[in-house]
Formats: sequence, structure tokens, C-alpha cells
Amino acid sequence: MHSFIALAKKSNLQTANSGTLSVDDKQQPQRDNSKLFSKFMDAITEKITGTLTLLGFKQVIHDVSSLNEQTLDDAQTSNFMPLDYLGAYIVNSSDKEKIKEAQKSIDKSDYEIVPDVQLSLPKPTRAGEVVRRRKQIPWPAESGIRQAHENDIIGKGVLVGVLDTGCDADHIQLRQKRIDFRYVPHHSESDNLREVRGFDVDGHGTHVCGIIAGRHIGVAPGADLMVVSVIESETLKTSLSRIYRGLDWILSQISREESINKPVIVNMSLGFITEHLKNKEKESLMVGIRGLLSTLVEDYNVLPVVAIGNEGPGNMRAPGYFPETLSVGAVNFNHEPACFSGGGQSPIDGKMQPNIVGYGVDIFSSLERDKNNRSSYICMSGTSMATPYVAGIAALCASADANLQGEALRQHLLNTALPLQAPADRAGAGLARFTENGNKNP
Amino acid sequence: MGTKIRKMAPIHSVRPSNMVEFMVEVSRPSSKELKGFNRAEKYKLLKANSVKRMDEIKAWIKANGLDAEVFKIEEPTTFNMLFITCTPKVAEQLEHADAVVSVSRSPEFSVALTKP
Repeated sequence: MHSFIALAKKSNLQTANSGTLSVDDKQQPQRDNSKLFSKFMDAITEKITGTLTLLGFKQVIHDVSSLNEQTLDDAQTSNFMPLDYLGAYIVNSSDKEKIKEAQKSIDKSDYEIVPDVQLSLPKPTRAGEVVRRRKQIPWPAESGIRQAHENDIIGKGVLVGVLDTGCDADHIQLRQKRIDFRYVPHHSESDNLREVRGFDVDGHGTHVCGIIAGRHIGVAPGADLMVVSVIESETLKTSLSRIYRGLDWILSQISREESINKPVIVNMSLGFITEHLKNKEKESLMVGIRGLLSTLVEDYNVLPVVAIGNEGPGNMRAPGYFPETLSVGAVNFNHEPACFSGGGQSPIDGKMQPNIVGYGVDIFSSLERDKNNRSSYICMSGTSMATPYVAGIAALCASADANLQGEALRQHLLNTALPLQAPADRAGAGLARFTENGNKNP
Repeated sequence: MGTKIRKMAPIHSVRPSNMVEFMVEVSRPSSKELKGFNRAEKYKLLKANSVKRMDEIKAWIKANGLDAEVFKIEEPTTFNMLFITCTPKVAEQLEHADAVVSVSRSPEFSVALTKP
């Protein structure tokens, strides 16, 4: 079945509702607004209904059971369903040509034609049960984390920015921490950045923050977090202007007197889906990302740690493959690259990706509190989990030596990574780990 | 017990359908020129640069009689990118304004939370 949605144009609805426009009644602008609006709606409804009926589409109503068999047969071939409250019509047909004809015939000054595409959402990540009790520190000895913590190297004095779905700041693993949080709304003219207690619109960001700096489970529990929520929970959509505003806030925070010399890492467990974008839009996105990253790295000495993506070998997500970032793939606790972990040659500079790997399979971390205010935990897998592991390791290294910042920190992590028995497009320089003296053998 | 009065959320004006968001890259001091300044100074300098460029662009729009074709200019940031919602005609003409490096359509996109 092919389908599309005809959506009454909002600008028309608004002007009609405000009483400044009517279809054929401009001589009487003082008439009651609601009457005008309803007259306007009736007029465009009549038009579209007439057009579709002429083309052989049958009108169906929500309650299909009330249709008799013959009508139902017809309705299943080519039909349209009005959604009165939305001012929209869903138009269906088994005949592709008929759908095209309908799209052409509908008056575009009244309706937007929206393709009814199927969205492919990321698969659920939650492996296993939600639990309420935390485990012991799960990080293997070769990560160097235990050794660091025993020497009181826990990420103190390091700032980690997190660009994600948010963070449940009252989770038991995070509530004692200093977490600066901002929600970046879609409409900047209303509330530029909302300064509120940290919340999470998805749960993903809370898991990421727990891996970086959870009190008992985190790689660098002493690091300070700056969390920016820039993603819509329902659609996972964002825009470049939102990301710019979010990162601008992070830069304003790290430019405060007390933070001016602190090492800064930005964790991005996300990648941009560019497949549906037209070439020109892709180019714009690349220009926008480039501008962002070069400012972060060249002017502010920030290390962006970015997930390479979960589409498997040969696939990568921007901005992970940009040379300014430290791109991260995932391995399991046996040091085998995860089947979902991306990699390959960067389209920007031809260099092999990912740069480094982190533990990213069955990673135990915080999950947002439930309705009874109880903190819980869950295992998740993905390069989203490997990235905060690497960001946490970076925080430990910078905490041990505050001169390790930006590019120097990046090089240090690459130089001290544990080499793995896997090709460069699967494991990069190897597993990120903490080595106190900076030697290859801790 | 008194009734608590809650502040109503503002009603957003609707963007006219003939206007879209464009990214306007503006000139800025080079990283070399900024060497020697600390983070806070750089932030102030870059932000001031963006504000100055925005004011110049606003003045340019006014001088060219294009005010009616511009819906919104986002608050400038430390980055040398301004987000302007306007007609494609304005975007095209902006390419010729002083201090503008490039103009391109601002894409809205989905992010994958890099879940397997």
C-alpha cells in the first residue's frame, strides 16, 4: 500500500484563525473569527474531498467496522481518511500511479504533501533486566581504572561535557556530583537555555553519565559533568543551531575563572543520520560540523570523544570520522570487536577509523529513576557505551597530568592504548586504558 | 490557601512558510591571532565578534529594505555561525554582504544514539 498525508498548511490556518484571511470573504473582515476559520476549513475540505473523490478514492472513517463489505473492498484499494482535529488527510492506494496523480491534483496552496515514511528507529539497547542494586566496579584490571582509583586519581579537576538526551541528576550514582545541566529548546526565542535540575528524555544520557562519572560504577567519578540535552525524545531529531547553542554554553562554562585551566573533554555518543539528506544539505551539515569542531579543538583545546556508530564494519557516522575528533569503536571484555561497531576509511581525510576502542558490550550503568523514585541499573551495548568509557579514561589521564589537554591528550591516549589482535578498521590503536606514567606497559 | 499562579508559556509565532533557516558563516579572527589569549578572553573576543557581525548584517538587511523577509536571527554564539530564518532571496543576497563567508541551508536531522 502506498500512502501520503495531506496536511493543511499551518500558516493558512493561523491567518484564517486570526480573522485576516478567508477564502472568498475578504469583504467582511470583521466577522466572527471562529466562523471565518470554520468557513475557511470547510472550503478547503470541500476542495480536497472533491478532488480525491473524482480520482476514485473512497472516504473512510476511523471506525472501519461500520463499513459494509463492498465499501470495505473499495476502501482497501484507494481511500482517504480525514483527521479533523489535525486538518489532515491520510491518502492510501495500492496503485502507485494513482497516489502520484492525487499528489499532483491536491492544491498545494492549501495543503502540504507529506510522505508517510516508515521510520527505522534504533533497536532497543537494553540487554537483560533492570536491577536496583549496583554491582562491584566492573572494569577489568587491564583498563588501569582500579589502579588509578587506588591512587586517588578519579578525574578530579577535569570537566566532561556530555551532548545527549539529558541526565537524571537525582540518580543515586549522580546526585552527589556537581552536574551543570541545560536543556536547549527548539524555539530559542522563548527560553534561550533552560537552567533546570538535570532530567533525561530517553535514559540514554543517564547511562552515559554513569559510565563516565557514576559514584561507584564510573570510570572517573571525580570528574565534573556539564550535560546538555539537545535531542527530542520522540523523534531523536535535533538541528545544528541547537548543537551550536549547547556547545556554546559548554564553552561559556569552561571559560569561567575557576575552570579556565582545567582539561575539557566533550563526549558525543551520537552520530548524524545523513542518508535522507540531499547532497546540498549534507554539504551544509559538513560545513557546520567542521566549523564547530575546529573552534572546539583549535581555540579551546577541547578533546571531542565521539562514537563511530553501530552500523558495523564499513559504516561510520559523522562527526566521528572527522579528523578533529577521537573516534571510538566498541569491544567486549574479551577484547573482540563488537559485530555492530563501525569503522573504515574516513571520507574526510582517508584515515582509518575508529581511532581507538573502549568496552562497549553489556556495560552496566545507571538508568533513570522509576516512578517510585528508585534508582536502577541496566546493561547496555553500543559504541555509545564505549565512548564514555574512553572519555572517562581521558579524564583520569588529564587528572593525573593537567598538561594533557586537547591534541596532547588525544595523542597520549593513542600512544598508551593496549594493542589488540584486530585490524585497524575494527580496533584502531587499541583499547584505551589508564597508565599513570604514560608508558605503554602500565 | 491561595491559588498558585503559574506563568503561561509564551505562544510562539509561526514561521512563514516561505522562510527557512540558513547558516551564515561570518568572518572571525584566526586561531593564530587568538594565540596568547586565555580561554575566557577568547570566548569574549569570539562572542563579541559574532555580535558585531550580527549587527552589521542587521544593518545591511535594513539598508537593503529586506526586513520583511527576515523572520528571526538566533542569538549569536562564540562560533562564527549565525542562524537566520529568512526567504531564499535574502539568503542569496546575503552572500554579497560584507563579513559573510558563506550561506547555506541549515539542515534539521535525526541523530542515531549509536545503539546497536
